[in-house]
Amino acid sequence: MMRKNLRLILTITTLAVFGGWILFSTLNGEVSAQEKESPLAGGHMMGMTEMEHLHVLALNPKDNTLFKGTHHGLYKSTDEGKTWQKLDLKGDLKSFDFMALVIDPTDPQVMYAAGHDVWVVKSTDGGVTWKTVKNGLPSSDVHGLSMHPTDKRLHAWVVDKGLYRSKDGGASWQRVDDGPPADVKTLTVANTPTGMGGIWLVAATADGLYLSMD
Amino acid sequence: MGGLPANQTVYTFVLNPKDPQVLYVGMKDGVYKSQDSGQSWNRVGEGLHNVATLAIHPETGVLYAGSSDGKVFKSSDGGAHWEATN
Repeated sequence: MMRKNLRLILTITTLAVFGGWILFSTLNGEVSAQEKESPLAGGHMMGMTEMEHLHVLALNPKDNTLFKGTHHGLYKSTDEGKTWQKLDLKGDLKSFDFMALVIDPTDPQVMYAAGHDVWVVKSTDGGVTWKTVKNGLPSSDVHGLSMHPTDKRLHAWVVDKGLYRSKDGGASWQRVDDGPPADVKTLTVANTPTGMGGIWLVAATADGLYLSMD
Repeated sequence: MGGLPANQTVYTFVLNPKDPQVLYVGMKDGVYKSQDSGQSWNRVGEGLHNVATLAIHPETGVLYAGSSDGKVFKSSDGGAHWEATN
């Protein structure tokens, strides 16, 4: 394990650093040049059903239930994605436009979600009832959300505001830093030791993968 | 170093907890996999586009990919082959 960690560190030390975030993999040209960026196709196409505009999948590893977060709510599948049921969400949700969804792997009734005007919301009943957990968050537009699988710390990326951390299950949030210098699409904890006592956070962004330690 | 297409958005990232050198990202033109902690990447699978989200089972390594148009795909062989779930 130590060799793997060392290799990861050596890989990233040659790359640019932005306020604690390291551009980890930008990327070279195996694929022919394509346009710099257009938002993923399909956001506003005619004829799309409510089910579409998929942003996030999350898996309950204990019973293989799949969840997906869309512009129009949350869906659940208990047959590995063959059929989906829209969840009738309860609680104090301000918006149903979900961008991120995480499931506690050891207690899968506990889930967290985020999105446009969603803030961060928490469920303790497997995704039915949601409570907004925003104490310390600066605004409601939260696109990235991750949970460490063992120490359960949460990270949230708030659009134009930066990266925030909660060590108490969302009850309070503290600002960490500005986050990576690019629009974050997905925030993930890489559950592998850093060798320096922290955890790795990986942000998938418009510029590639960024890595930071917390 | 490298192997991912330059100047393209990476929409999603997962790491195999059982083998943390194995990384996957989702991009506009599909899923890319690294088996060496991100030093090199190769596109895996066929027919996937606009991959907005990936999920991995922490024990089995089974992967799910969601495209922005709502389709969900499953791979049981580390991303080499994908089947639509619905």
